[in-house]
Amino acid sequence: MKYLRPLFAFVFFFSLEVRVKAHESSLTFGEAAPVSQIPEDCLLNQEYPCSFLTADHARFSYFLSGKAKIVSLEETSLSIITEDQIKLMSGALFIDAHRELLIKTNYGFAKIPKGQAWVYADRDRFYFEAVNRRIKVYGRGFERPFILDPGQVVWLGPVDQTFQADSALPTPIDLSDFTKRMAKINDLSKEEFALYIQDFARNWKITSQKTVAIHKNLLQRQIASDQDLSKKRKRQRALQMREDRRLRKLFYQRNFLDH
Amino acid sequence: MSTQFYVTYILCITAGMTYFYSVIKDHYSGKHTLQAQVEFLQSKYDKEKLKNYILSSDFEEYRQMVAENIESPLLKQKKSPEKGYPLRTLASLSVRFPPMVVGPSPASELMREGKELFSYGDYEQAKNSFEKVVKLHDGSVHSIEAHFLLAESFFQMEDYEACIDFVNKMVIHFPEHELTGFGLMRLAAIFEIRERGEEAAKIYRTILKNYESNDLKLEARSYLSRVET
Repeated sequence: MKYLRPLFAFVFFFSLEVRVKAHESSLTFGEAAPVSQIPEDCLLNQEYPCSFLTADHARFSYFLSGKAKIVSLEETSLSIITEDQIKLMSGALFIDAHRELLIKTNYGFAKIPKGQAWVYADRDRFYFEAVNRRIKVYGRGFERPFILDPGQVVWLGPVDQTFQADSALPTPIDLSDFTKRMAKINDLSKEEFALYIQDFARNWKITSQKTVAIHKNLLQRQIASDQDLSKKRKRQRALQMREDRRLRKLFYQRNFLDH
Repeated sequence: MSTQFYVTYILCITAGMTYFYSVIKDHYSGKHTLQAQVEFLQSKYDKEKLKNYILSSDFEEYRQMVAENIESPLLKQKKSPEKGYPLRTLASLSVRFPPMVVGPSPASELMREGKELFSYGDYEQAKNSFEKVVKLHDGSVHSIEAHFLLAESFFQMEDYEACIDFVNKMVIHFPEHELTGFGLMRLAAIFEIRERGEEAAKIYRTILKNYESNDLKLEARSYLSRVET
């Protein structure tokens, strides 16, 4: 027992040393460096336009000339075009803007005023989520933007036969997925984060109720217009039948036929 | 006290030896070189991946821009969208290119050239064309004919050895083809020229036995009767 203690201490410190070394080797740029940059080292030199690819399963954050903080958690490719314009090509991005920022995608763009937002690509669509401020999302070919209240999400898809980007009405954010994502990127303590989520959920509830009301209203209008159309068709059919009967009667009378 | 000192001493020696062993092992195993290579390839791969993302994104953006701006000319043409055609795609609006005209294959061209020269009696030049077909387009449909005409060209130029070579090749590669039968007729003729009548007669009999072409049989029979008399 007497000799085991120094032996244990020796092994412990030896292994601790190794672990610290391995951890240090991945720390080269904030939490994780981007795996590739074009032009080389453009992020460090703040040389824009700058395109880069971030590593998968690693948190990457970058301060854009004091105007915004961008964070990614998965493999994300994006281009910083100017200090206030970013183009997302793939992956997911959290934006915490201190001034107005423009996020471009292939199917439209979003204007993010001072506030937080998520923009992410999933298959053929780009999703825009407003977190704590209203954001405006402009789809390709749209004359008016979608105005998203905090807690709402809207997606844009490729331009379709209407010559506009495919899209749907804004819906409430998936709260559980949002909480998981935010838990990975925030620097708050447990208690602070719980308060943050509670606060968000309160707003989210109000937004959800508003969204439901809008959807309900739209649905009712759609049902009413469908009913109106069906009545109109019935009336037309009845008129047509009456006219047919009248003509048939006339035909029989003129040709002295019995019917 | 002495035992504790002894244990510490042994531990230090063991740790030192382990460290020394790992350093030596790493140095001679080429691990660092391989690691550097892997890192280099990985960074190259990431760079290519990013380039690919940029290109795909630019291309997609261009496509979307075209799709968005196609609207005005189409609306001028038709003010209201057609009923029953809700799924009009970009493909239906794109320009149709005329169908691609497939020209003759290089082997056909060489054969045509060779046959023309052969018919003018320019066997030397014709031979070059047929040789190109045999060498460069061995899998083409003209291969058998090229072999036969090449053997025939050599026969006309009285280069009998080369002619025999090509007839042999035909027997190996296309034993049942009618043209091989005609090639064998040339082989028999060479034997006749060299006054080896018996061997020529054997070849004629083989042709009569193995080939079904009437023209070939008729010719072989007449030559055989001539050799036998």
